[in-house]
Amino acid sequence: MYLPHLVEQLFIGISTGAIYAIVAIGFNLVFGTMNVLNLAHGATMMLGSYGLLLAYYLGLDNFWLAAVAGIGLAIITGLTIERVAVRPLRGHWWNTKVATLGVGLFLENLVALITAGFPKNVPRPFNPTYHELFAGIEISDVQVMLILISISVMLGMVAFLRRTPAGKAIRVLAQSPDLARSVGINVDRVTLIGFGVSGMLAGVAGILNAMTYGSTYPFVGVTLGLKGIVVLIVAGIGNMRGCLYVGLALGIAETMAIGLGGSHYRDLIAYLSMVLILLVRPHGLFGEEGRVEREV
Amino acid sequence: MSTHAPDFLQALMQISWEATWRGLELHYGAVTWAFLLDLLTDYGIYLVSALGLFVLFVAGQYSLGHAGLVGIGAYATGVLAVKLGIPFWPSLPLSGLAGMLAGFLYCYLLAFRLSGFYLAIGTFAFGEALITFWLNSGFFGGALGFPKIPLASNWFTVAIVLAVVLLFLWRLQQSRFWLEFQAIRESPLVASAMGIDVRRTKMLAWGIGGFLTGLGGNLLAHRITILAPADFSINLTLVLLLGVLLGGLRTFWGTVAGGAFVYFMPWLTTTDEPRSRLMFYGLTIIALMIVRPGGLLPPGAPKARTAADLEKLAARERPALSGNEPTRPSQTY
Repeated sequence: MYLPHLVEQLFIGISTGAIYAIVAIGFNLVFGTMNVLNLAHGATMMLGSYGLLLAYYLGLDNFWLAAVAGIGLAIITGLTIERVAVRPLRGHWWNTKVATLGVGLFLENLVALITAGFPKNVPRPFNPTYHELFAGIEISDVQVMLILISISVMLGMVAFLRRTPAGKAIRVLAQSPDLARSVGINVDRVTLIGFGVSGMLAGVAGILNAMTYGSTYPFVGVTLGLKGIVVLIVAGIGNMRGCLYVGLALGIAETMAIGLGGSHYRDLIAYLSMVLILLVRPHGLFGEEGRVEREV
Repeated sequence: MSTHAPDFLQALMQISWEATWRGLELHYGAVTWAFLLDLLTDYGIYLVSALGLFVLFVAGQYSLGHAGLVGIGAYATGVLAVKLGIPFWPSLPLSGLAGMLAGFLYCYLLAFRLSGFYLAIGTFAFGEALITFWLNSGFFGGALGFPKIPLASNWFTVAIVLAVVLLFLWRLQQSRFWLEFQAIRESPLVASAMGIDVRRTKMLAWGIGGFLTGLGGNLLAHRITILAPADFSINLTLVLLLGVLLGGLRTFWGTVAGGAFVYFMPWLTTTDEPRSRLMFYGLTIIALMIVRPGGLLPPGAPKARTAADLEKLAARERPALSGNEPTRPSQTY
């Protein structure tokens, strides 16, 4: 174990953590604002990566266009989830949880049925080449791209929530659905938009994850989705910036643990630290009190 | 037209029955009584753990780490049976106690501090942490599994355990504790205002739920004879959870029915791919949540008491009149 190795692990950790953060922000958007824990979020991520593959299969031979197609599929999935499993059950937090779980089961096994369940290779926009920064520390251009895309997605989300009318409406909805209704916000429409944006984030996360590992499989969203929930809970529900910090911290902690030789305990880090943090701060590190209790 | 309808229905039923039977035969060879008995035995084992989860849900303890409790019961059984050589019947209450202690631990660490959604996520993480522990522990066999547990659960032993458990739940449902469970589920605040010790009631729910789940783990361990950590992942929790949620929270019969649905439906609808049966699960859940949001037997309001009921109740409690009591104004209810 020498220092350059650890610094390289740090870069990997940042790019992994950025994906966790995007997943958590996708969860946050629908949970923090509409009090719906969308357990089909992982399946939406998976569909994003398979949408990219489908575009290739249908003869589209450009990575970026195929990625747009994948994200489009994820957005459609998000909208469909809202119409099928959330809108008919509005107000029942436990029921929407179960119903979205059903949607996730259905989608994942549908894809597994169609593709025979094997992992599939995902093409990359270019083959990774490694550049030496200094003192023997190498970073691949795919990692640089991942980090850049993640940062721009975060900035885009912040701009969306702060500047656009739809984003502002979502923030009002997060404060109080009744207030939103009374100032003339169409709650149904804003909820739909929220699910669409969340689906888009899921698609981006799914494609970034597929790019990192060079492959995807029907149940890829299960572990990734669980990590996203962990980040959401630790950060505190309703806090976007907290998701970013905690996601990065979790990614770095995990890859550092692997780098230091503790790969057996990789998943334990996330879950155990979450339990400990919840015991000390029951509303997460950045969360505010009385958020979930409103509905639960 | 109407005279044809029964014929049509009858034909449809016959066709579906034959298709089901043929499908079973195609997959499992001739369907024998032994096979059906095996299926029922597995269902009974599943049901014992699911009833443990049901008790927790009635008390509002939304546990998503339930597979971890099943695993504790099963691994305790493994240690008792293999390392200490304790036979089946004595190990049964001991593994139940192990599950109970684990339930107390869940309760003390998590349920006293977290509630609702946070409790669900916290217990889930606890269950996953347990799996990682078993996976990396040499004493428990690690990823290779914990082998050589004697085969002791058969339809007979499972039926006896299940009968005792159902009898116990039937009595529990008529007791004060059941009302207390429901009270702390609906509102811990109101419950404590009514003089219910919320912490003690939570402890009781986790103890009972943990004990039943430990029994289920014991039966499971004596059935599959080798334990692997992956058997106790979130998937097992989800299957147990489905049985409870499909059944609803009114009585344990709901879980018995919901569990039967979850357990037998895949066997009846199996085609070549197991994937299609999970897909079917997913669709069923969505449909059920939309049509019956509270499950098949939703928790209803307590039965309304009419004036006549109260009169009857009062008459039962009033001592028989001897005729020479001092007259008093008649009571109205």
